[in-house]
Amino acid sequence: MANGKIKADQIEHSTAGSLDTQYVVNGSAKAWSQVKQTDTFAVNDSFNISSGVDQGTGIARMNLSTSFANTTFSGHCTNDSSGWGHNGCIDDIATSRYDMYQMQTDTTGAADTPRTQSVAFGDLA
Amino acid sequence: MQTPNFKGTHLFDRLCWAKENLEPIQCDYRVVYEDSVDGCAKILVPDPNFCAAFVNGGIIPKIENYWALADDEAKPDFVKHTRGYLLHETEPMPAGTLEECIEFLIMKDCPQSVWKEWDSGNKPKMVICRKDQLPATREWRNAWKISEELATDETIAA
Repeated sequence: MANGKIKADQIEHSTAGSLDTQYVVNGSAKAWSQVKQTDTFAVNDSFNISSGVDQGTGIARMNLSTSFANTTFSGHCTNDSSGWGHNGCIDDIATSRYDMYQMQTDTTGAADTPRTQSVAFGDLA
Repeated sequence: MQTPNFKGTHLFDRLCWAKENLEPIQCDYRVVYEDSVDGCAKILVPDPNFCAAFVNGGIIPKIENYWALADDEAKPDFVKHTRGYLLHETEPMPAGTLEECIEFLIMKDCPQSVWKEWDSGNKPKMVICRKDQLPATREWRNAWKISEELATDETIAA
């Protein structure tokens, strides 16, 4: 049933109780990505991303295939550092994109990381 | 793979189908652009899942619908999108080539001030190239610029 549809307001586990499906819809990530910023920038894998933009050291923009409804969506990013610690944050949000900033914790300078990961929750347009 | 008839299906659901059924395409094309005099060159990298969806056809909305939502968001009193149906209920793009996918992404994800007047200045504001034509290391990344020696005539793509 490749294109089948099940409509339900609740789902129920055999022992753990039931749950409104709106929790699933509202609580699921609407976009995610993993990009490589070191050497040649690449989008390793993703969902709901149309392109990644290498904007300079430690900065990457993720453009969305499906826009969010507003700019109050919640974006988060982190990374795998290559030997030293990194902090990651999201900024410059629009409904169709968000920018990821990576910083090296020991120098507080911008830094490229081998695996920069992001996820975004919110309401879609 | 034959795409189901997705007209009227939420774009998010179409992308779920594409993620599950289509092999991602790692494209070698890159779009290098400059959107400010002081800033470094930016490099747009196509998303592999988006490329697969575009090439397969019947999933991605037409570019005019993205522009309409961008116009809405640019209005000073914008609070929330009210025309999301433009992405979900309009006729999707037919199957296209990777080159057409790059053109689409330029018009969707690059600033209009760049791609509409890419050749109007002393040097190109935007260049499409292959991945292996870019520096292989990140040295002096924040100083990367498009070469001023590039011509802006028809031979640039030759």
